[in-house]
Amino acid sequence: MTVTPERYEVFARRQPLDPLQHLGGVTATNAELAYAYALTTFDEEKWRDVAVVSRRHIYSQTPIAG
Amino acid sequence: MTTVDVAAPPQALGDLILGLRDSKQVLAGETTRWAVRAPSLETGIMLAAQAQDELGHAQVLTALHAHEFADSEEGAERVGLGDPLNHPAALPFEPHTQSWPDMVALLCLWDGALTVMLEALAASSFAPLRNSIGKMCEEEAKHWFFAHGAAADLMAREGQVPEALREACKAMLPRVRHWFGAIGDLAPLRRDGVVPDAVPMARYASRLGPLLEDMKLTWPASDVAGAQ
Repeated sequence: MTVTPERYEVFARRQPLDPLQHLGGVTATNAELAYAYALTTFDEEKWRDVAVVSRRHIYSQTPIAG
Repeated sequence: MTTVDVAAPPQALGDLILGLRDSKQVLAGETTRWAVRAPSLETGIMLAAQAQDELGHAQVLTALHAHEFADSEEGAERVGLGDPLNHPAALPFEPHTQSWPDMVALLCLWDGALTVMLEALAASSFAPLRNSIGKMCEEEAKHWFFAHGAAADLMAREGQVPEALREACKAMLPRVRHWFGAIGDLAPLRRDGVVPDAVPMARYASRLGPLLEDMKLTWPASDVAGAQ
């Protein structure tokens, strides 16, 4: 099985009731690596919650480029 | 465990702090070495960040030991970062890993052992130690996500790569277990009430369990009992 890097979008929030804020993206071969990269790349603030989602799992009627 | 502050920390705790400090210096050197030869730019950035974390932790542990255990200014001095003391309590892992699977195995098993030990010390009744370890544990959690993700990446690849990771982990496991048995079970410190009464090896075995299972490696069931 080949392992292909894919794009993950990164979301985070400072407080539990804040809306999740889109910070940007990282490229990784699995979600756990994407999460680790996100924690390191977007560490300019102390985020309470950080989440990553593969672009494959984002639904849209218009193409999302990149 | 009730955190009744221990006024006079036992020397065994000072020895463990130095051992952890030495371990982090060696790990910092290894992660730095791989940061510039990592399989991807993102991985290299992650390793460079981890190296910085490890050096920062070594600095905190050095200062903590100097302040709480050194009996003189001369005793508090340590050699430079390029020359760890090889303290008896340090993790006996082989630096200068030869392959990326070897390095990932080191991150999973040996850095994982450091993480579990720091988490045990974060609940210490010795306030200066407890206060120093908190941020370290946050950064260690990040290291674990990376190590586990890197292992999952290798296990998903074709050819000999998964087997190379498996063989590296298999070779390291007995030494890790020996370290926990000889140094890392913290029995004297648990008896004195300096750390909670939970065996770090059990927690480590429980945490590594799913990864080892994926690699069809086993950890003695008796070690997992008592994990908290």
